[in-house]
Amino acid sequence: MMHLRKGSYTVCLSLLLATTNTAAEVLSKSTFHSIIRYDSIHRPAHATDGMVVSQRHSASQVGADILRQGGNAVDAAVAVGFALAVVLPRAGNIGGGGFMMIHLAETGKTISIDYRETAPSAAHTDVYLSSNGDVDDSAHRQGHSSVAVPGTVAGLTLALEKYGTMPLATVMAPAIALARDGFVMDYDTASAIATRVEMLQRQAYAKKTFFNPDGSVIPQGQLFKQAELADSLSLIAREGQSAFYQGEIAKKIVAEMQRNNGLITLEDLRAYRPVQREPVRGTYRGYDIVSMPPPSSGGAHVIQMLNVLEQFPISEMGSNSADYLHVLAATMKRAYADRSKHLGDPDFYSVPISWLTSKQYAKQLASQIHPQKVMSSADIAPGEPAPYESVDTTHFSVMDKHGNAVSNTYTLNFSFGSGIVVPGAGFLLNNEMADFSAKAGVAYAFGLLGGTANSIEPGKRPLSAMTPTIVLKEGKPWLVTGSPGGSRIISTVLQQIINVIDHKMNVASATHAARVHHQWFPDEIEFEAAVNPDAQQRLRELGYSLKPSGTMGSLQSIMWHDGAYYGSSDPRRPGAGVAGVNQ
Amino acid sequence: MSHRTTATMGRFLACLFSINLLLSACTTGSQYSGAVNATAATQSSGAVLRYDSVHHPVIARRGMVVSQNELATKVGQQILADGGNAVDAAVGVGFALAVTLPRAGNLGGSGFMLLHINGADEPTALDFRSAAPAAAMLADYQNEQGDIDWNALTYGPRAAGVPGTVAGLYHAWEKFGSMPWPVLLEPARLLAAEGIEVTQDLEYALKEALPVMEAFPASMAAYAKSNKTAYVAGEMLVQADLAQSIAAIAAEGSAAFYEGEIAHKISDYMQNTGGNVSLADLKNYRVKERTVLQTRYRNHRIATMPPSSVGGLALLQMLSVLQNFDLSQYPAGSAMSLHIIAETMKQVAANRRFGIGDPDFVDVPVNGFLSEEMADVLAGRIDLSKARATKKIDPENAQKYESRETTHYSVVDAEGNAVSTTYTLGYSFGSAAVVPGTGILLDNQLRNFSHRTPEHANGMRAGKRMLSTMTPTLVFDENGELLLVTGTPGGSRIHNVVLQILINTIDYGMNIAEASHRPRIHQQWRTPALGVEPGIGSDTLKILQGMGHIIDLQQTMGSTQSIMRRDGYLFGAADPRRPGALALGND
Repeated sequence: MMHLRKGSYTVCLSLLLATTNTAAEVLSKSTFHSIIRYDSIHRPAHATDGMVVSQRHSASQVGADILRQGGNAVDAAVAVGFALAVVLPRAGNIGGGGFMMIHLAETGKTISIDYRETAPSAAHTDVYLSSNGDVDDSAHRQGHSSVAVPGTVAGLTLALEKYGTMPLATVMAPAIALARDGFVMDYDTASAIATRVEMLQRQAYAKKTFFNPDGSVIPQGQLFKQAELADSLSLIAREGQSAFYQGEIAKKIVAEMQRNNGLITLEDLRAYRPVQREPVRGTYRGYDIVSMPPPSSGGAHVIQMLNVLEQFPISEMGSNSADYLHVLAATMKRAYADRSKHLGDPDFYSVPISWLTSKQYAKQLASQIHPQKVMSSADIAPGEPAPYESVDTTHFSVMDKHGNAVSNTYTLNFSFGSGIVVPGAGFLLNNEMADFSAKAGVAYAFGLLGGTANSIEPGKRPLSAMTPTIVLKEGKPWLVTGSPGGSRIISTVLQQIINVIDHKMNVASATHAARVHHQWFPDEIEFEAAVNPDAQQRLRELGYSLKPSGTMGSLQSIMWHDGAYYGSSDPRRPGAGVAGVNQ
Repeated sequence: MSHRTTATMGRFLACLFSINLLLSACTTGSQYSGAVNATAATQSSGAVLRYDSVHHPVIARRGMVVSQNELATKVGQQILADGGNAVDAAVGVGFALAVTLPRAGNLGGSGFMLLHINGADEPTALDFRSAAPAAAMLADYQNEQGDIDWNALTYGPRAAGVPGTVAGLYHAWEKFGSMPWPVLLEPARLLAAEGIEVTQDLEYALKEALPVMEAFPASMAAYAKSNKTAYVAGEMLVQADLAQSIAAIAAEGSAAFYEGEIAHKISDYMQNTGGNVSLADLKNYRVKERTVLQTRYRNHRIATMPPSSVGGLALLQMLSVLQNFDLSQYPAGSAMSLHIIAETMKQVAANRRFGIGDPDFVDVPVNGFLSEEMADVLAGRIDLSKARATKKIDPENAQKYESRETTHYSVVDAEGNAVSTTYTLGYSFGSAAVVPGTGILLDNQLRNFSHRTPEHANGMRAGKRMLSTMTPTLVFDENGELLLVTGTPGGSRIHNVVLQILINTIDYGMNIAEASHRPRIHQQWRTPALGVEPGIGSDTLKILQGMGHIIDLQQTMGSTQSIMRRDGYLFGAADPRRPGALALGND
């Protein structure tokens, strides 16, 4: 090694802490050049002509191949969306729904497509309440009445029609091949299935789809083929979304519903429409934050929390320092309290987005945060503890060489959704009805409190936390990111943005950094094991209750800097990968 | 996984010389009550596919290769898949890295290999360190005033020692290999002949090296384009001469290198340029089998490299000192944990290993260094409440036996045989001199002798091996089963980095990926500051500073390539700190 060492930076600690700029400066010098130099433990993948990051490396490759063939980011994203339905069956889907953010370089516009599932016309709160007025969890979360009208096929095909350049059959071809020819079963998927044998064998078609003919789990290394899924995808590739919403697949869905007291009718499917919505926008320290509006609560609350945090010298406090984590947790508490009250499908409920995301409201919230004192959640607003957290949604990010970007999060809700496979069609249906608040004030599936804004009504979309986000710098996509993680999605995306902007981490270091979460109730900071133990101790002394947590989220991010693409998939869940394009 | 035993606790208490110390240990310990259990609960090393660890190792059952270059890892994986054993794969990886990671992988350099052969009582330690040519005299590297000509000891053929790598790999294969020698070299030959795609990392490394290489036409021919500009990422780097050399070694064994055509090319080059390596030096070069250094640490047996590496000795000394403290009562990464580790590094570094050199030339009092008495004395100097002052920086002694551009690789096969290899060219691209017609870079290991006087234990003498810090290491569990294979580059940081891998896995029960990702520290004696990697929290740094530590935010430390073996599974972790490293397994 000849001249690599740029010199070490002796930082007198009083300096480091008093004016942490010294440390921040040191780090900022290394931020983007640490790709090959030795300043950061983690370095992102690098590419010059485009990039795809998703929860499955094989799906990322599918997207990168589409980019290499001349497709744009939307073409690639649609290809990845269908491919993940094959190679990540627990969350990738055609029987679920989600949100897509698209930034178009040519016009500088950012568009959001809401393809969230809708409640069937027969769905009413009563359906999910037992005779004594309690929520019937099994109906709400499992079985055919938990299935909402899927939106994924409509959303992806709409995106392709309006903003893509390639024929549907071209972008779907790789997914069809992966389903028909099979893919090598990975350890992660095999063990995900192995731990859900009971759920996935409840219905004969699910059993047939995900297990060997003798009912045994398909082991790692064995080829896993999904012929019926391949047929369904081929039909969609040939006939477009109408195959799913009106044609053969629609009939198969409805037949399955009718046999099992499900709610979805042919008319529900025919009536389904993805909605283009105006994204929710904010600014943070000179960057533009563009994210998903309701019925996702994610974008509004990420912006709300960034606005609050902008009032504090986060960068000086230092990454995962107790000072920072205190302010962060205090901010999260307030945002999650608002979330339970104000958010729902905007077509049914007037969501006060501009108020929630205003700098003025943020200043008001910031002024309530005392640097040394913890305000209990109950003092912010009354609430109840929450019991449950699911993690199985998935996000992918795409950028092409023209500067177009796609940020997409979609889901079946629970891992493998309802566990119901449409007979003869080979795909899983969601259990998105669980995301409605079945009864106001009763904690719903994701452990959050939902009021009437998120009550069940026919045709309504359940509230979501999915937060596909694009951060713009000087009007151009700078960070494309998003994550699964249920209610933790919002806090995970928030910390990613803080890590790159305030803590000046490269996108890989930001992704690897340990995370925390506070969702108002329960009144505790959940933390990943790697959160600094001395910071933990200081937070306890400050009066926080701390709870060790499994890992949170699975960010799939791309950063664009100085003509190159830097990507990082999250190490927390196996199998994710970055595929770059260099031409 | 807790390895506290009554014996350990007994020693812990016995070594506390004052009530004062005991009190400070207790008070500081108690502040973490609650935190420790949380840490233990969420970091069990069984956490492989559950979502409680941020980082996950690569998992396989029937063999694993981890190296700093993905192409080389694939070569090793394929050899294992073809039925080769760990030694076969290690030979294949060793040659492949010479092609794909030319800054450190080598044929013209040297290193150390630790082998665990299933069923053997003790690991085998191969020393294939470079040796001083017979004609190399200190006076040749001094001017009239007696000043040392560091340039001549750093760049060009005069800086080169007699290379050991080819002999070392051949020796390992002769003793333990199972596949035909030429088969193991063929993948490397192909990579050289057909070319490798230049990565961004290689582009950067070559760009840094070219200004130095300009003085050496054969180096420019090997590593620059024909118009003398640097390769850029995406272009193919073909190493035709190197392919020829590998083919010759494949056909004739190591004799091709030490007596045959390559030997002649080396000695011709030396004669033409004033270098010292002669045909006789090459012919006389021998691999040395050393007695492996071992100690017990919290019910584990740690086996590592003896001199002429000093890294192993330092590592075992530090572990002996740490036995006196119950680290696991302080959470990983906490100020108290880092303080104890830093002070241990400091005390062991201060306990200067005078009189260490090539054991064939110098009697090294290994047992004295590793005695319990010595460990107790050093542990007794550690104050749990404050950092001990160190000496001022002594630039004269800023000697690092190895640059950070060394590389390590680990292999385990289905039978549980294991190979831990660290080898190097010295600096990145060594002396920067390629022997004309061979494509082989020479090292610059003559730098690493102590040049103050030839009488120094590490003074340069004909045939003598210069000291090294390379620390390939194996760990065996309480039942004597192989648990961990690890090692790293990093110059003077090597043994400190390996130490932290052992602490993270043994004391803190982390999985090997998590253990590899955690930020590292580095403390020396002559440099007062405590080196820290980015990622250690400011609350911790503040406490450390309160204890008197001076914090030096440094670049990343080391590049561990490790394999853990438990419950019938192999868990591999390539270090994220350098691009292109990869762990791959076979099922």
